[in-house]
Amino acid sequence: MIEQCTHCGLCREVCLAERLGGHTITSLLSGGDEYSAWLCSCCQLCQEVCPEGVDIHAVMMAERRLEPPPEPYRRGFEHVLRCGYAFPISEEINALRAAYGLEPLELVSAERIWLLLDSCADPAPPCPTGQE
Amino acid sequence: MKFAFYPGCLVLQRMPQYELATKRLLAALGIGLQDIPQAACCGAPIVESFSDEWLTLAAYNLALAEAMGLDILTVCGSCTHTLRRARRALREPDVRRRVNGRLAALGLRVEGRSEVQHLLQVLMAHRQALRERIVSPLRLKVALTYPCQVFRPGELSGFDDPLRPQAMHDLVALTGVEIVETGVEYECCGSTYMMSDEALALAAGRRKLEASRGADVLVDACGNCHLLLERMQHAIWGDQAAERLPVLFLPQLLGLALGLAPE
Repeated sequence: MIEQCTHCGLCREVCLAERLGGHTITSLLSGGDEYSAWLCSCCQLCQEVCPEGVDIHAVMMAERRLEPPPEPYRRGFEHVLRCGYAFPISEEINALRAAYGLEPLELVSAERIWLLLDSCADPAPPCPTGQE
Repeated sequence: MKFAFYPGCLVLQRMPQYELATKRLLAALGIGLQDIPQAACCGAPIVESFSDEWLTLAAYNLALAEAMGLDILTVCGSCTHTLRRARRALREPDVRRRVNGRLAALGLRVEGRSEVQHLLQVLMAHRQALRERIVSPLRLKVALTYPCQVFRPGELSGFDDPLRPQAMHDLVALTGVEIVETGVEYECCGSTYMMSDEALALAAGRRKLEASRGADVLVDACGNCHLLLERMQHAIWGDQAAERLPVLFLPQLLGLALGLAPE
């Protein structure tokens, strides 16, 4: 996928973060080496305009796993592993829903998340089976 | 007609008004929404940034809707994109087999039968019914901001124009408002930068809000856009509180034109 890239720079030209002074994966694809794979809004504009059809999203995700994550991403991932949502959502949400006249919602159980994502929990399990 | 309603983490946690306005608006059009018991995070970009298991999580949500026999209705850009991408990935028999091996532990199975549609798509498909139910034309100047990932990449979305979509213009125009062209309605809001560079996110939000000056209200259709453009306005403007611009979700604006009570 990245082999298809001709470093034409179109992706960097359309990137909002680049226009605001940031350096994203599009800097790498345009031949630069100063960038962060984590700085991206996933707006897919670069992907849309890429004349070579490079899967920029996939390139970026691969790069992210080589760079240390910003704290909000790390925390979000931890929340998903613990409770199944990117934010700390618990049964209390149903009181808020009731105040808006919304039906209570059956939240995903920690056991289910554990069965789905246990391979992500390295080195220590984030939430032992059977325990919220 | 009925959909399985997938609000996503952000709307579920912080924006019940978006869920409520969506449900009431669609009910007025005869479209039912059924909550998905035990639905979880869609999987991306947070999970995908760390692990390929994002696909398992996305497939899990697709499997729940499939078991309900319903297509999925989303209200955020990111969930829409992620679930669609998962559905495409699951077309590969090997991928499907691997994921179903995981889901079997929960007694679930995914084939990719449930389609994923954002609220905008469903409203566009019912535009005539919507037009007929407008009872209170609105005298407002409205600026728009489009949810990027509902439209891009175009080969995945298959809906509207990926670079210059028109759906929000078409829907909002039904209410009689004057649409203020900002020149940045198709650009990303930048909300996701909050997770890696807060100053850049605020600069992006400010750019969008400044371009929307002259409008009475800015209308969005994504929880993530709303998080930056509405919830973070205090940080965007700092001591320039007079610059604050009201921001409404699309179904809130449409609901007003249908005569639905604002609360």
